[in-house]
Amino acid sequence: MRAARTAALCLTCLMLLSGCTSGSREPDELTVVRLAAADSDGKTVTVTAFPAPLEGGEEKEEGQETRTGTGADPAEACLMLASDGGSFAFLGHTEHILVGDAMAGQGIRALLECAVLGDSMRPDAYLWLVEGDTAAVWGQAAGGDNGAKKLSAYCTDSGTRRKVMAWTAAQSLNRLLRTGVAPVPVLPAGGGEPEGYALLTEEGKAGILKNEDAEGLELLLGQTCHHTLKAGEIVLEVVSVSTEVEPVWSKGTFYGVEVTCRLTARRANGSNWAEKNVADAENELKQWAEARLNAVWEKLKAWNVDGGELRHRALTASAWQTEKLKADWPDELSRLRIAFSVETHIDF
Amino acid sequence: MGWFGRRQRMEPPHPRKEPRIDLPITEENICAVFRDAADFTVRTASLGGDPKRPVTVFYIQGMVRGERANDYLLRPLAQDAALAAADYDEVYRMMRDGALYNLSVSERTTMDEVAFDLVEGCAVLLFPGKPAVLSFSVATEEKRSVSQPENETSVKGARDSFVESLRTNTSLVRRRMRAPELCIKEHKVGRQTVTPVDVLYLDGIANPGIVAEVERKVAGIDVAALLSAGYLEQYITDESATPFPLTYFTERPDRFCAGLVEGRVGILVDGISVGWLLPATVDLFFSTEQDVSSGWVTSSVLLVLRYLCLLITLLLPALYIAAVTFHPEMLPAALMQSIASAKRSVPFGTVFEVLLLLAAFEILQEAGRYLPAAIGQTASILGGLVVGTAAVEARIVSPAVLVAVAIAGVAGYTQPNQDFAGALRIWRFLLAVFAALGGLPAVALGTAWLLCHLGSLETFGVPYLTPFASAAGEQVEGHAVIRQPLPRVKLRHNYLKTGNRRNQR
Repeated sequence: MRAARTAALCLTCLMLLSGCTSGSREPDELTVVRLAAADSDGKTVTVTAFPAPLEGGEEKEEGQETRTGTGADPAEACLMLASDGGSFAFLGHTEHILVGDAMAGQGIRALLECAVLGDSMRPDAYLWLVEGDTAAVWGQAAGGDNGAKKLSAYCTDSGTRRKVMAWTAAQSLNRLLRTGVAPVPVLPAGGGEPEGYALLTEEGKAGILKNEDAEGLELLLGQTCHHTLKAGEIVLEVVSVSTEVEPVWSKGTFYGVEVTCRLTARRANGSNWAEKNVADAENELKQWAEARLNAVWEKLKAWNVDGGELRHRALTASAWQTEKLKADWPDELSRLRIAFSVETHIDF
Repeated sequence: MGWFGRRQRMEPPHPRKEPRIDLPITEENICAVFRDAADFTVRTASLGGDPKRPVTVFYIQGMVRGERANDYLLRPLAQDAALAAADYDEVYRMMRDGALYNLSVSERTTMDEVAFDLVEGCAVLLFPGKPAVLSFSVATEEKRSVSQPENETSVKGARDSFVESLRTNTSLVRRRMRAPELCIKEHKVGRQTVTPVDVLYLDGIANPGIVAEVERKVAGIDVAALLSAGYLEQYITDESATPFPLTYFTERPDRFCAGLVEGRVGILVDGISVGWLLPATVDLFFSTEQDVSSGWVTSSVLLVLRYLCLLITLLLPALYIAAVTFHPEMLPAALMQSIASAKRSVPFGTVFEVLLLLAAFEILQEAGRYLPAAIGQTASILGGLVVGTAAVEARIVSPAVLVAVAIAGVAGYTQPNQDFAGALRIWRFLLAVFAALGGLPAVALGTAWLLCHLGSLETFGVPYLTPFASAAGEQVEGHAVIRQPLPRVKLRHNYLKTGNRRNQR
């Protein structure tokens, strides 16, 4: 009886697992891809994969050349790409996904869902927009897999040295569903460094923030990248930013939001500055931050996109009045009363 | 058809012949019993030197100590004036009551007793006309001297280990446990070997139910011979369909005594230089006496390391197969590339590589176990060079697989108990096969099966996974993973149901 039970258990295990063997692949049958590019011509989607070279091997070996797949949607394109060529293009190690300008203009939700919910790419791949051209061109210009290394260097936060904020596909999809807009760092077509942020919605591209507007977005989101400014004779380096969004209530009715931005900067030159110089430096820093916050707010109002996640953060800050806040929140951002306050601190 | 071939028609067990030798005690009968024993010796001694008053002495050469027999038996017979002056009956009575300098003198009335006494090294005196004999213990004490344990080394503890002599072993226990409550109950096991088996426990501490169960099982062993450890272990445990050991053995008397003090029951067997402790729960196989000798922090770290190594030795080959062949996204991209590069030109699949290396590992171990020391080292070098270096350079196996299997193998060596480590090696193979079938879900299924199997085992009424599985909500005393400082261990283990739970003030 016991032997019969054991045999039945073994047969059940074999039956349950019998369909699994088809999912196995040897590592040398895989082509590892760390950089992928998604483009669209309005009707079809093309995904381009830039395979990583094998350790100690030549850049271009058999099965290591650039691969493309085309389909009606990103998922189908990934499937076509995976099986194209002599080896299986494995997108599970994709670290960066480039999005072409045209594709962004048609909405990126499908691509995000393919990356997050599908089994081709990985949800923690960073998203980048290539402005004015196809994403595949940037990948080629950047040297294929070398582009992945460059992009990793841009968004790595080693102290305050990162050049740009970057978000993963999962984070972007969350933002898109939560606020209707997902900021994505922007790359120029020639393979250069990031230049700002694009605000992407389900319908397309709301706008692009560059220079001071991009810095304002970073401050609004409470993030910091590599920023230096000259305040009089003192050169300051912003080392940390935290931004709080608090709803303001007036007689039980939602009035507006107060955005408090706290900056910490450190002196990058000189020593033994006089108190007057320090006070001036703090004022300069405050004005610098306020200017940028106001600039980005104007843009967001004009495009009517909540790129700073103000609604979500206000709801989080007053969790006990969520329903009232949802009801009172204005449909148009231009009708939202907002007050920015900046607090600065300089480490000497 | 059974698991091990066609079942044979079972003959009913032969009944024990009681008495074994049904003969009256006479010189002729004693000689007839040992007629084909070349070491059996008969000598006639003269009482008081008078040839008209003979006394027959029987003994077995090699079992008796010559000078002891000469000095304390034959010399008084020949030269003692009191014995010389008395008649046979009086001499018999005087000798029975201790006239001779001998620790042990017994009157034997059956041929069975006479025969077994002779085999155990006694000299037997037969007086003419007497239906009984006197048996004097003059056994030789030739035995292996107490030496250091070979498999359980000690840095800060005692260096003695059990030997083959049962009485020497019990003396080693007695030297450490001077409490008169130490009970030693002897049983004879084996129809041909009649091996003495001692059951030891502390009266008032050990659970009487477990003691009774152990004694019942030992008494119930009806085999031809008890010559090796397996004969005891496999007969006193109920479960046979498991590779995991259900009895714990040790070479060290201090470890043995520690188990007795905890409330366990010990077994010592004449001719086998280990002692067993029952019941044997899984935490016993991870602890060593060295854990108590070191500080609790060090011991706890080492214990955690052993448990981690358990997971590594069991799961690493399976996880490697699952990650590389089914779930490459689990591995960092750089590692994946490294493995893919190393796998180039290797003709075999990952699963075959892992299983091949695991088998090679086992073969090397098994070969090293039985080789003489003189050539063992050469074989190890050859095996390491061939398997480790040449196979990789010839691209028969990839270096990543070799590293994974080697780490798993070395992690297995951290297990203090070799029986337990052997069981883990078997399950390592099984889980690797599971991983080959279905990746991580299959490994999870296999691990669940292993846990269910371990959970179903019991040892003398105590679940095998105690204290992890059935501490009944009570805090575990002593240690399971983290060892408590000894002053805090006030109580004995709950699951042993000891008579006295208090361990210290």
